[in-house]
Amino acid sequence: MSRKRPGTYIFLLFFGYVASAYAELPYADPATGMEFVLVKGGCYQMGDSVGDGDPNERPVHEACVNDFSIGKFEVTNGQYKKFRPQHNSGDSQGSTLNNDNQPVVNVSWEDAVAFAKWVSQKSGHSYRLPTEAEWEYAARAGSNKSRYWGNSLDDACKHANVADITAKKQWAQWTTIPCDDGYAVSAPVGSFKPNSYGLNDMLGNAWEWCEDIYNSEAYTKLPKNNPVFNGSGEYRVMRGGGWSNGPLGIRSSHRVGLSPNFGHHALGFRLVKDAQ
Amino acid sequence: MKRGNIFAHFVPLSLLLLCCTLAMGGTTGGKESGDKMGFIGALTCKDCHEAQYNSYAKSIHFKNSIKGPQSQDACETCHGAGAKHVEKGGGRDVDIFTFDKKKDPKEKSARCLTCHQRTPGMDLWEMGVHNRNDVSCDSCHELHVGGSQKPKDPEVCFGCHRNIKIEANKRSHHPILEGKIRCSSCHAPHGSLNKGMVKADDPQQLCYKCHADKRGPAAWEHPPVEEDCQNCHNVHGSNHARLLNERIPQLCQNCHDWSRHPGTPYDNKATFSSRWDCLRCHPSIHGSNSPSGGGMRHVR
Repeated sequence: MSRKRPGTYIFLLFFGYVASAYAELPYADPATGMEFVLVKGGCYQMGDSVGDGDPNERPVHEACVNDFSIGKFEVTNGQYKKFRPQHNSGDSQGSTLNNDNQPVVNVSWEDAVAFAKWVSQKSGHSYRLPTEAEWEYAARAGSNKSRYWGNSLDDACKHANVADITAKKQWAQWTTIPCDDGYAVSAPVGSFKPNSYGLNDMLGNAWEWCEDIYNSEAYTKLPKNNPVFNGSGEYRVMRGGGWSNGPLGIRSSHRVGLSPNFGHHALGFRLVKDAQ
Repeated sequence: MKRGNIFAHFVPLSLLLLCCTLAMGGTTGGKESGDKMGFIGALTCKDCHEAQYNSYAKSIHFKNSIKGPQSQDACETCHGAGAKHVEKGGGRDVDIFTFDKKKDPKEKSARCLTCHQRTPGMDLWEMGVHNRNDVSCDSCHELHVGGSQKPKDPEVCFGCHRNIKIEANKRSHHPILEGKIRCSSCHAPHGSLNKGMVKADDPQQLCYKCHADKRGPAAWEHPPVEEDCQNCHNVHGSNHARLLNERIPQLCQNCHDWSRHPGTPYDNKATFSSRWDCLRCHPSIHGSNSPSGGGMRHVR
């Protein structure tokens, strides 16, 4: 048996440490600069386990997902404009939504998928929209509460850009959350506290398109492992709530179906990269 | 002094009463505005539904001069309060009333009837065949369009009444396709007590509105004419001349002894406009006023 020198062990330990630390670092897409965070797969209770949701969020059921990497932030205008320079996210009653660091909005599901395809070709990696199950798993970040910071709305404005006091000044009739996040419309991505997986704006700021076809009874039809609804239906799922939504819209299990060619002022997306 | 004391008490008491009255009035007003809870205004709707808003803005419903949605709660007059819908981020049917095909037709019509209950012609809607067969207002009326919101007649009617469309396309037909008459010239789509929702108690009377020359009275009446025009005519269209149910002479021979004037079946010589039909000798088939016996046989 050959005896290894102490230096070899130290080198191996150091290499292991560096390798693990590197693995935890967000991956940045070279073409757009989008950052991706690795989310270790696992199982969780998907749906409205608190009881404050709609019927389409029930029954609560166990869903398991494989490892995947998901955008740390929503795709920004700046990143999207590398794909479509002429895109304009517009404004909402005079407040711009089109700054480079704001989430891209007014994009349809089809636009989002086209962007994912474009980035995939550009960078050589496989990007796509998250499935509903992946999205909720990432948004909850281990939490079984209504929101990743808890059930309470008291701290909402620290964690998410929602319909708040600032928005209320402009849209007096809206149902708002009684706190002040400082933004009437969308905020630059990453302006608020991330969840425990290090993901920002999973709730609020902009809604996010998901891969699944919307079905109000999907939760009774899906398998446990890596569920994704690809049955018949004319709508696609959006998740997460946006800057114009009050308490009922800002919830991890809340799900809405919209026409895939529809876009609006608070609807964007983030991408997923399959873990290798 | 006493009088002064009375005034000294009366004035503040009156003011107190006035304040109470105003306050009660205020409460009533508050209740009314309470009914408006959850209404978010059309501009918020427009943020997401710009195309629908723009089409609504071109429609008659948008006119402030009529007692319609625009003079009430705009979009929310028909779709209901939108605050929860907005709070939840929208979505088809999410806490908002939509006029989807899957929605209960009576529920949809009820929304329209809130204002249109007293629209002329709507009195019989409840008992009309359309309502009883789950046809709702939006089945025929497109609301998010500019200009007239009257349905395109006959196209909209033909959407359901395919058999009538076929008949109206036959060789001999009422000039529906030509636009000279419309389905609604004879039918009351919003309800009628009459069969086929026609606009007259007796179908004969309906025909006579245009075909007054066939009304009579005549010295020599033709009984089937008196009874029902449809004994001989298919009102929407026919492949026989003059919208007849059958070719002449077969039509006549359904009642009249065929042995006197044997009929000729269609062949390559007998065309649509056969010269040898009963009417050649009996032209006054709808009734004759001839004093002689010829009138009896509708010869003159």
